[in-house]
Amino acid sequence: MIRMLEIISPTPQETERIGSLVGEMLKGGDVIALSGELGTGKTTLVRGIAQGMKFDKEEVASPSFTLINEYDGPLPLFHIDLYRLESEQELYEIGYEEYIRGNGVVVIEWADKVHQAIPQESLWIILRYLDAKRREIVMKAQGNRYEKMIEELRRRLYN
Amino acid sequence: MIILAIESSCDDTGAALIEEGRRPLSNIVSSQDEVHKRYGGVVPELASRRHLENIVPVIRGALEEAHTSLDDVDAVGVTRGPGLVGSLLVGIMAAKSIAYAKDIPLVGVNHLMGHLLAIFLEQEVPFPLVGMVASGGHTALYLVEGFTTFRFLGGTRDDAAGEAFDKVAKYLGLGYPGGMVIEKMARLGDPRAISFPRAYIAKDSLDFSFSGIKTAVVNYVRSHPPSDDGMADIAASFQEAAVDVLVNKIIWAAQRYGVDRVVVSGGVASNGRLRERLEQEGEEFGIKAYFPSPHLCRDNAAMIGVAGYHLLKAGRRDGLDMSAISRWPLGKE
Repeated sequence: MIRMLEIISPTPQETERIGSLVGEMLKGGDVIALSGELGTGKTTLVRGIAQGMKFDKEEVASPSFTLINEYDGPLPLFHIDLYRLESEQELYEIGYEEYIRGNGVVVIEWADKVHQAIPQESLWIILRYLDAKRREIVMKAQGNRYEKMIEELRRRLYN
Repeated sequence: MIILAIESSCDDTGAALIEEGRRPLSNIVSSQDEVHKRYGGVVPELASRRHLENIVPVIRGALEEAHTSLDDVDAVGVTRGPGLVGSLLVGIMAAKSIAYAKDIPLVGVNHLMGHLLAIFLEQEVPFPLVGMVASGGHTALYLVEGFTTFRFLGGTRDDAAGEAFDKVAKYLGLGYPGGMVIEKMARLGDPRAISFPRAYIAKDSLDFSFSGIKTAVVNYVRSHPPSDDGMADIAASFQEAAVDVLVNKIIWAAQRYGVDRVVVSGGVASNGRLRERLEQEGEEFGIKAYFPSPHLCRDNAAMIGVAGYHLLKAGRRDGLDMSAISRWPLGKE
């Protein structure tokens, strides 16, 4: 089993495509934790994930202001953005635990701000700035389910 | 008719008393200094707990300032969404309790509708008009044909305009609130120093994208670590790029729908450069630009009172089972 996958994305379009491949493999209860500086493509990746889950990607906008955007469908998507979060306490006040234990997919931007609060079993995706266009995308699987997922992702990306 | 209006969709807790849908008798926002001084309020945060602490003093403050009591209130209007459900519910529960106790009508208001109608607290603007809400959480254009008739024309596909200002300000280490610190810094810089991309999406599209400008600023700073002077040029050039897109799209919208009046509200409408450019360029096309005063541009309850009044007049009533609506598009049906 591989636990880590490193990808270089040359464009935002490719970041979106990688997101969409991840989105296609998701099921209820999955948790994706995103980290990366401003402008590295976190929201772009989430837009791809939403597209992979058969949502209209145009509907996906940044939830920095509202903390959470909910997308309703057969498999609901909860898009959480912790950019404005000031303490872990606030996380629980927005009903975080209910989302995490719910039946939808939860994607958390700026997850590194609340490392302790992210479930043990989760897929971490870390975006790094390489130059004006290129980004390094590192996926780290925590738990069996996600190890299988990134193995399948590698197969789909390179075969 | 006197309406008690309540707003708690995001950070600020607000209450206002509005007479005949246009005259504010009071308009209290929790973060205003007088409330802090008089009621020992706290700096509000996201948490609904803060709304819970603020809501009663704020409503009481609004009644006192209007020299009135709940017995004189004819109806209650409250923000029902969009926003944080936990925060919205505090305002909604307060509104329901008052409506029930005093046996008066209750009406839920879309926060965006409030922003679009805030201008009527200060002046009359004939319909139809193009309305823009630009704030930390919203960036959207509407065709407004009457007090309760809105058509969504376009909105942001990623970051809201105010969000881009906040994120760029934080990235540049300029502090908070982003709009204000960028505008201040920009006055010292050259808006033409750096050509940041203007995202128009497609020819004639009325949608917005601010994520690309934000990323372009990050890219620029990484490849040209700025001196202190350089920072002012970056702020000025970023602001110019954002304002360019806003001004152009507002004017396009007015031209496309044959409207010669535009109203801009929301926190970003306080930006001096946006006001100046839109007034100037609007004039060239025979379009008059209107902006509410800054205290009515930001989130406040008075604007909810205006919207509530017109909804009630149009026959809208909500029951005591009214819920909060987290994502509530306006004018898309």
